[in-house]
Amino acid sequence: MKKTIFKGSVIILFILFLSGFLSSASAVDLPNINKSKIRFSIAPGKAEYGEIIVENQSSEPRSMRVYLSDWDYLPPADGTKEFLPVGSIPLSSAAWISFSPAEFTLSPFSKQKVDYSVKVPANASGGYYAALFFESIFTKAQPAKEGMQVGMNLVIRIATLFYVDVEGTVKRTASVDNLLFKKDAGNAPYSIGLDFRNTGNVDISAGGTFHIMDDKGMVISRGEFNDIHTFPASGAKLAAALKDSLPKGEYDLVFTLDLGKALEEANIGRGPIITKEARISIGENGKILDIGQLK
Amino acid sequence: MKKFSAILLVLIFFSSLVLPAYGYNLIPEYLCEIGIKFYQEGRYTEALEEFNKALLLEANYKPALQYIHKIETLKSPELPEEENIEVKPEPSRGNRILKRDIVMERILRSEEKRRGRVLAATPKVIALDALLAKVNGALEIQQGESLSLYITGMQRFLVTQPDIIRVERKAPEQILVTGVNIGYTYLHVWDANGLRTLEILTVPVKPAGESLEDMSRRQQEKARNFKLTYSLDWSTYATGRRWDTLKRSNYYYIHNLGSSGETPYGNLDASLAVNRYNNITDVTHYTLGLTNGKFGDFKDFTLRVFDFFDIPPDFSNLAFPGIPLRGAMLASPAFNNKLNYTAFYGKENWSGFASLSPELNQERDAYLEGFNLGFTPTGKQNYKFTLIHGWGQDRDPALKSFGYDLMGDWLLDKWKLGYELANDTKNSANLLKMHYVQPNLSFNAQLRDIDKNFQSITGSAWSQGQLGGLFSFNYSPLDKLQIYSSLDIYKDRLYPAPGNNDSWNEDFNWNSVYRVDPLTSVSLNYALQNELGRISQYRYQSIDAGINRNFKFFKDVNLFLNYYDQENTNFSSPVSDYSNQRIYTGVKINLTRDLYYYASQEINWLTEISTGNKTQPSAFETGLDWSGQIGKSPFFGACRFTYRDEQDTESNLSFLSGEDYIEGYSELSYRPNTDTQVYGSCRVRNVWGDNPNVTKRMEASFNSGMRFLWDTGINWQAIGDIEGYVFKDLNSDGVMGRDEPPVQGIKVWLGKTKSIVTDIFGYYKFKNVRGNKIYVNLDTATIPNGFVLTVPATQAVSINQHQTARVDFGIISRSEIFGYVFEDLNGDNQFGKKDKGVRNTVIILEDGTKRITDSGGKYSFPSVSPGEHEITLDLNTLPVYYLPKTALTKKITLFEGVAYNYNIPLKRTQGTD
Repeated sequence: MKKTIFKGSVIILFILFLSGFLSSASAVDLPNINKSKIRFSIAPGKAEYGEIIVENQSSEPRSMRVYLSDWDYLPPADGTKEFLPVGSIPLSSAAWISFSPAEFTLSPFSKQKVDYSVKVPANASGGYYAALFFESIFTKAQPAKEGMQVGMNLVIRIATLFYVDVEGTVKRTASVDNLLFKKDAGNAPYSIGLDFRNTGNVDISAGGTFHIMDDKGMVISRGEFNDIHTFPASGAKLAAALKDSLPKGEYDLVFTLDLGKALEEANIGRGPIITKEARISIGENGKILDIGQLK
Repeated sequence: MKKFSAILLVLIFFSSLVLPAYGYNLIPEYLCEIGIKFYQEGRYTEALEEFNKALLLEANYKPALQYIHKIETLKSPELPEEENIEVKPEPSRGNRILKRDIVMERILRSEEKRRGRVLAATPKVIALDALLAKVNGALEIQQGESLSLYITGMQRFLVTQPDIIRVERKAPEQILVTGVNIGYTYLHVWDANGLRTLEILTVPVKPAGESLEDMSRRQQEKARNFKLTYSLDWSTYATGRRWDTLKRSNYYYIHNLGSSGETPYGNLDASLAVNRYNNITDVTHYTLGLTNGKFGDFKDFTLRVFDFFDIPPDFSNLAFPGIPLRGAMLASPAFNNKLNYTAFYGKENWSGFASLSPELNQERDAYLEGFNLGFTPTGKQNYKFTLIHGWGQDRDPALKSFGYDLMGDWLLDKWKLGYELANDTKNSANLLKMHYVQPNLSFNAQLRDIDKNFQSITGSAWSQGQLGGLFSFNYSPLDKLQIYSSLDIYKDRLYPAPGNNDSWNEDFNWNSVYRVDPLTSVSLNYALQNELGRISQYRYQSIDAGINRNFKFFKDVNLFLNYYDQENTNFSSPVSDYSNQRIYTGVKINLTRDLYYYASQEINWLTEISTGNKTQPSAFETGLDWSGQIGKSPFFGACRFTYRDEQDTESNLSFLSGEDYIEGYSELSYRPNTDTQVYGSCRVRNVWGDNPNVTKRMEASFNSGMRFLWDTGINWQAIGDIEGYVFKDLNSDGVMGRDEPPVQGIKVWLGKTKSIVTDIFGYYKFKNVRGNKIYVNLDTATIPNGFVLTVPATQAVSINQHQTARVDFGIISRSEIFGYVFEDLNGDNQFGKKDKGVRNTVIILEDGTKRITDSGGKYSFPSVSPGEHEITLDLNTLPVYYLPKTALTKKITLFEGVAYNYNIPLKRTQGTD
């Protein structure tokens, strides 16, 4: 019993310590940047110039360090990123980016302009990527005993992601195959899946819809796929669920996939779409009898 | 009880009869709704079934019959086809008919357009093939706009976002696409060629004519042009016993000619006025001015010669109340707007109107000159000092030759305090002001002490001889309630009450309005003038309450009713004492769009206190009022007819003239555009009355005139030079410093046609540049690798006449040495995803600068000068189980703007970390 109480006390103390640590960490006023994503379309051999404003929203001065990094999308391609040393990925644009200054101190509630340039080599083609990190070290003094303090360093960094499309060389293409249409149990929703592969030379953020039509051309049901984010030559799973029950009959499953969500987000255009359809046959109680070829 | 039960049973019986009948009547409508849905989806057979069912229940149900007729028409061979017949359809009778229809439609459209109308409901017809060939990207369709698509061999269609567009199948091979909500959608169509997709963007309805941006740009361009303005106002007034004996008693006209435009030296304006009054004609006013002036570095000044009245900035005070002068005036800011000054000189009473009327004063030998200095140390403080001097033989000898005025204002959060001290070399005037404001309350207090002998430079002073205070507030305790009140307590030392120099006067006002609802408001007001301390002693008080209501009774109607209770006691003249109760009520009715009928009635119950006489002066007025545009023509008109009847107005205290009249007024104006107006108006009044003091007569007045603005299109642009430097902006502040070196060989563009390359000093210059605002661009292709811009690559510059504008461009490079110290797990000497960074390792630059690798093994010397460098790995900081795979020291040649990457691979020899 005593052991249990002791264990319980230790756990509670640990939780209290963590919560104190987290609350002090969250109390830090993070520096702010005015651009979290920058997408350029630059012709080979040409350059673009710009600036990023870093703002200190706290009443304490902040020492900032600026540096470049590479990044990649992590599985399952839902937008989660992994940041890597410069030169780690073949489509790194870090070497094309110059910036100044690399170190500076932000006075309380002040702003600092960081100028940058992106110069694309004459022989480049496709899409290239990098991240510019703004890093600050916070030293938080934690009172320990009477008259004593314990220092703790907390490194916080925020990034601006660079997407560089080499103008005139971009191929935004993808393939979808391996249609999955299944129902696990009688009342379970239908699962719809597609294998997506980026066959172009730029990043693709894609999403889409599916429609189920009867032979008279009436839409029986519709739904949306998850958004995916891919680099060239990488793949992802598009998945959707259909909760509606389907009466016995023959249907056409129509997929409309939008490959231009990244362009739309950057407000620089809309991408191509992929349209596919497949014939499905549903029997009694919604049982799947046949799934046709994706075409 | 029995009766009640019987009534209840009867009611139940009737209601049971009504309900099935009601339900029965709805069934055809319901069936039709289903049929219409099928029809819109192109499922005509199913639609026909539903419409026929409806007819079974109600044989002549009109909607069902109409839809059946539509479907039968659609199934006939005369099908519509596309307008743009780029894809050749097979020749058929239907095609011929369609072409004929299209031709007819075009003729109708052009005819309607010519008449200024548009066939709103007729959608465009186009073939899908032709559309896909034309459209690159999304097809834009406006909200509410329809497009008829003809698709050969159409099988079915699908809209991915059905809330964006509405698609109806109008025929087996025709669909009608209508924009509904703003956004993108895809329209899939299956036809003989398989699946085809059209992207559609629904956009808001675009306003007709040019866009706001275009309009704004055009207006800006036009604003620079020189413009001529001319106006003529002509007026005559005639009166007589009858219409045929009317005789002109006054005649007047004025020509105004003006010109204004932007010049390289500021905005120039000039104007001239010629007046005629009866038989005398004279040039009464002429002026020439320059605002926002610029002569080199002397900027933002205002210069005016000849006639002027407004003297900036807000130059009016106790010593100088502000009068028209003929002379010259200069006002300008200085020292970054901290100071502003005004100097002027002019002749008093210049007005040419004096010469038009012999009764008015003639030109006088009287002059004024003055100087005003303003000082604004912060946005919350302001001080002004004025010195004024007057002289001339015709000046009133009692006036002083000099006057001084000092003002100060302070803004303290919600408080604003101010004072003013004026002196005419002998006597003083003092003013202390306070203003408090918050969202629903404002309060003002003003204390004044004006010496009874103090005079302004031109004559009597404001509130001369008064000592007192004025307090007022504006308060909205509720959104619907607004209260304003003021109290003025003062002593009149110039004209005090006879025998009582120390008496005070009180003026009090209370006004409150409560808005009961958006259409109804009630008001309650009180006024007291207790002026017992002035030479004419009286006390007047009035309380009134009123209601105002708008409502709809077939038409918009406005009603008002006010009641007043007034009492006047005049201690200096008791025959003026009275008490009066007054009702004033009226109505205004909107008969048609711009035509109103109005009527009002005023009734007084007046008692003359000194005589005890009681009278009921009253007035009734009614009429019709119309004003508005005549059709869609550029003509605008106004007509008013008024009848007024006053009764019982013989008493001197009735405050009614006793005149009865009928009056007609009409006006016609021609306004083809905003720059032109020609107008004429006429008013005729026939006056009579039962009051013996009223003269029976006819009055007529005629007015006419024109206004005209002519944009000459002439634009006087400045010519100047632009120069500047391209430099290494070492501190990234965008400003060229002494120690910041120039950059040679960078191309700078003037607009899109002219360019120049910076010389050895980083200098460039464009000579004789003509324009108002010019854009200078840095050619970024000529910037060396690794450099960034510290200012925008494109900068706008204003051209000043014969001045040189300067535009500098800062660029900066940063040379860096960085790299990773890592455990080379895959043995390829390259740092990759599978390798592991080693932290807390020290790298030393040749000057002793040290950097410690971070948790990822990275080190960086972020700002290193270009040239030869040497970096060394401090072996002592390396864990013992690692051995470097490269030399400990590396010599590096670093070029400007380059980030040099040097990684140090390590090999593990033993143990673990």
